[in-house]
Amino acid sequence: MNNRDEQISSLMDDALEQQELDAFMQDLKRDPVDEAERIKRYQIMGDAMRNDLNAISFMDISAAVQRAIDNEPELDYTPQKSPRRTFDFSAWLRPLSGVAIAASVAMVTVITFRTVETSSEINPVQTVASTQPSTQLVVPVNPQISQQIQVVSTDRSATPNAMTQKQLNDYMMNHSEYAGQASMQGMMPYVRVVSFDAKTRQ
Amino acid sequence: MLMNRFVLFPVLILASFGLQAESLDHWLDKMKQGMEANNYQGTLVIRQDDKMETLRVIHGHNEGGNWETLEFLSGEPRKVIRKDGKVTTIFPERKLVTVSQDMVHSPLHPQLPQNRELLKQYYNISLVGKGRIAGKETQVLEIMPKDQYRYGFIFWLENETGLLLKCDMLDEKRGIIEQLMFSELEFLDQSPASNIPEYPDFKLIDLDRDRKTQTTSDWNAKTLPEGFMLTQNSIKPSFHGEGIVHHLVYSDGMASVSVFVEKQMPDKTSLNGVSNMGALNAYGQLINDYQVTVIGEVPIATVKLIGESVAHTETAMQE
Repeated sequence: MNNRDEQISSLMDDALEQQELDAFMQDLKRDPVDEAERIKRYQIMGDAMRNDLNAISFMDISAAVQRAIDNEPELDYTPQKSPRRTFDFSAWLRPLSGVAIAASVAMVTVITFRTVETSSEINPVQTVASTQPSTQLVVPVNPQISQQIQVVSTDRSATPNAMTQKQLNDYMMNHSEYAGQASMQGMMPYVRVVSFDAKTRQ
Repeated sequence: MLMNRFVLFPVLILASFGLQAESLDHWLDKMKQGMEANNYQGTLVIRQDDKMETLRVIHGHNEGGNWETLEFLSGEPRKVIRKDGKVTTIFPERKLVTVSQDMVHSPLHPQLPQNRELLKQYYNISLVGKGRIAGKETQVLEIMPKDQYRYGFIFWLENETGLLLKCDMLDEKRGIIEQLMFSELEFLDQSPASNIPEYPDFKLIDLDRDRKTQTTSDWNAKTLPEGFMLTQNSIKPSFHGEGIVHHLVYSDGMASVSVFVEKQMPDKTSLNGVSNMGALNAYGQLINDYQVTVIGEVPIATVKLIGESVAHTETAMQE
């Protein structure tokens, strides 16, 4: 821990003399963002040690996010033909005919799904009549069972082949198109596709 | 005196619950209004695992309805304008503009379902404190599932308007799967200009020109987690250009799951088992000659449960 860290730690513990505090505040002006983040970390560490951790503040990533935005490099992305893997976010908006259209604009879209093997005892919690109308509320058979589900998963990091990836990609995009209609997810599926887009470019 | 205390205590408890419920409904109403009746612009950050994406958002509201513009600040430059039931996407580098119908008639942010009481059967909804996002004070609302078949959410709602400033999606261990947050936001006094710019030199593609779907698939999921119901049921041309695909969507009002069923193509492999990426989980299996794939922003248990119960209607009726 360097001298600055010790000062911040003392500040958090309210153990800094007035003179030291004045000197520290002067230093703080030189690099306010970095110090602000460091202070936040020490504050969290202090809270954690005192068992006084606020879950909301702990999850607040605003400082890191703002920093990431400020430091974000300007990417010089030039679309390339296969085999470069890119994700076509616009396909979220695209109906079925768009598959052919996408090919015409040379947009190859592949998402990397991972295969996950599960060891689980899944108990059905409700049975649905096979001719269930689209607006009918399903009735649970045994509501208590759902409280007892234990799922254990082991990621074997096996990746589906390219053909399966492409199929999952198509399904995911089509699902996203309708997910917002069906649920309160709203634009989240869309935003998720955008995120995938970024991943596949890196 | 002692008797009065015994009477007063439960009354106070009940009054407390009543106030909490009233306050909760107040914030749920406010959230819905906040999504629609505001003019604002800001920077939206999406975090998934260790990756971040940023978008510039402008939202307008007037007597004609709502509209919004999303401009991606990362990756390839793209701008999406959602207005008048249409989505226009502009790709400046490719000199390309696509236009389609807005299939997701939803606001930028998650929207609570109409039937709030139904939602409360499957989620615990509570006000959990205050927070500060993008320099604005917020009320924090938590929506946690009562079983392991759905993810949880934490919403940060701006105090004055109810606008959603931050949303966390949580797994069953309260780990953050996805995070969406305004890092900077400015409310506008007037609705910003909503004109869609013209790009005369750009290629224009209408994505809806060949859209054809028919309804009512004869496939069905026999077993669903509590509260999930069928919200979409359609048959479409297959995505790979041959045959058809059956598409069913089930939702509990918060989460949604798609079931795709199509004839297995000869010499082609499909998903068999569970696969995942971020918040999305998928489960696939072969039933006779049909590939069944279930995909959604739900835990593995959910896609597996639904996937294993999918059957053709005639088969289901025989059982």
